[in-house]
Amino acid sequence: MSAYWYSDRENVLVNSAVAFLVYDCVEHAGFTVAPWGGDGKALQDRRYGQWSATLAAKNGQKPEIRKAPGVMPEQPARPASSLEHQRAETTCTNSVGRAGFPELLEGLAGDLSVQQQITQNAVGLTEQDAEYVAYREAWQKCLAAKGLKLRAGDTWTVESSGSKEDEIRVALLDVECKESSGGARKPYDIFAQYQAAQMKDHQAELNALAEQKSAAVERARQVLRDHGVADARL
Amino acid sequence: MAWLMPDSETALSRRAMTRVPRWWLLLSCVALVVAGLVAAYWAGSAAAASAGPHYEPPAEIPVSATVQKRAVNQQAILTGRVVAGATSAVRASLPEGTDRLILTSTPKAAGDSVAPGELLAVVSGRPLLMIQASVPLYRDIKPGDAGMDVQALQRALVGLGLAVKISGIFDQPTQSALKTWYGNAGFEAPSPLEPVSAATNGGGKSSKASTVMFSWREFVQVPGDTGRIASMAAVGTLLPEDGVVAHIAIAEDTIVARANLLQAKDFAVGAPATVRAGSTSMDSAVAAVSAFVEGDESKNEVPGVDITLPIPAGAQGLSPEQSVTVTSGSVPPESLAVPLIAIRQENGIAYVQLSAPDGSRRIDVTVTAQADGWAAIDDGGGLAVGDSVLLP
Repeated sequence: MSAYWYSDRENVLVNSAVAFLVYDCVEHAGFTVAPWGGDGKALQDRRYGQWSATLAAKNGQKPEIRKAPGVMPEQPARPASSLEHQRAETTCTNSVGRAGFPELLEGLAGDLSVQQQITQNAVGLTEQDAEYVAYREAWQKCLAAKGLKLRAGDTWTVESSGSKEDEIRVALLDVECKESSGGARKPYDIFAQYQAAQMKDHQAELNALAEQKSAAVERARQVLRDHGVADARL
Repeated sequence: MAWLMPDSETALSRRAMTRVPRWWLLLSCVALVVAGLVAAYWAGSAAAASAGPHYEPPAEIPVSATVQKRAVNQQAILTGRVVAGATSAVRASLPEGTDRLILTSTPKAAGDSVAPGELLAVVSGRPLLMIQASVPLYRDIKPGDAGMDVQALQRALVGLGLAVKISGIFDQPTQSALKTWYGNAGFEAPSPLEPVSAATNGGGKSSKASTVMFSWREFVQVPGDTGRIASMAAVGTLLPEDGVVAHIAIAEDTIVARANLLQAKDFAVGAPATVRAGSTSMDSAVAAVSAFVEGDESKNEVPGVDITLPIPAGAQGLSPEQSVTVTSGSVPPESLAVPLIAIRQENGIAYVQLSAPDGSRRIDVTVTAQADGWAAIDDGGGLAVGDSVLLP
């Protein structure tokens, strides 16, 4: 399914292309845009909570942040701009919008795309799956035996005292319980199976989506090339 | 014209027969040529087949591995560094009657150990004697003086094997012991009656003065009383304004490595560990484990605990700040193990294909650990040492 969303790298390319177009507009309005750049960030998938003991030991319950190399080098903090400049940026941001680039990102609010529907269906089907339900029960029983409980309103995050040390300790116990309940990645695997089944039913739409994504990325690359970004960074 | 038609047809058919008088010969020739081509093709194929290797789709050859009993060692490996041990600076004070602090001589050199009673150095002609850290050096002690500092001095003298009664009074026996100490170091003890200077050096002779004093400026201390000289000023040099003569290492260099809380389980105090620096490898053991330390992402430091290990005696080539790796030395128990690639998965269940004379059959397994390309499996899964499992 990830083939139909932007990868970390593709997302950086598209966002950078949009930024260039917005700044073109700002400069056209008579303002000088300060140098900008830096790496992009992407978060670890935590739909069913922490699944890696190694990452739990490092980050606790928090998601691992992956870095996606940016197309422009990192810059020091941008200087404060005048009110007029800020207004121009807002105006340009609104007028340029996404510059015709589709937002192919998982989990966007209000997204009614086919891939979003597939994901939501797979989530619903997973939650009703007998194997998943049994897994979750076993996991919760294990957590309770260790004196742990789930955070209110969050179905996969385990409550901790708040200190970094306790957060890591709890996250490690969480993964331990998942491993003993059938594997820390088990719910992700069940989800993936439902997702794959859904994809078969929508393959034609997904193929069109893949083409749309490729075209958007290629267009983004061209925008970046036109703005002097070296091919090596694309 | 009506009569011409039959004549014409007759004439045409006659002409055709005239061009091919025996038409069946043509068919025979064609048949012969075709037969010849088929025969030539067959003969060529047969010759090629007999001349070269005969290629056929390779039959699938099952590849299997043997179930073994082995320790699948999932050792934790940390990156650490050599941390220099704490040092204590030893300072000289300007003796009366002298203008500058010059290191006159020293019997010690970098790397030498130091202990109470020893002569550390001679500065501007006067000795610097090592004395126990328990003696409070805040005043000169003259004959008849009394106090806790005198008592501590007397204990220090006893510690050096000198006969002194712990009276708390700087009495004659105490002065005699002090004179002996100075004498052993090759100096005269200072006298309260004449100023202490380089001129009062006796070069091993005992003091002619009937009474001696304790001049605190001629004694130096280090925490813990013993240590090793980390650095020493060169003889003949003018000491800096702060009077530092030497730095004494009062703790040995150690190795410190950060372990995350998962790895920390393998590094309890006393646990064996292997330290590697370049091609050098040495055994050590965990000496201390710190409290939890929050990491610093900007420095690529993970949150966890700091593991401290001593540098093994005789270890060569380790210098402060050098990078090392620390590997947990705990050896896991042996269990059934198969190559990792033999483990297959279906619906999240791990299994292996057991090779048997009558085919193969699936055996579900529980993988308990994996390392170095091997998977440790639970003993109760229906496999035994020597069984063959198919590799995909």
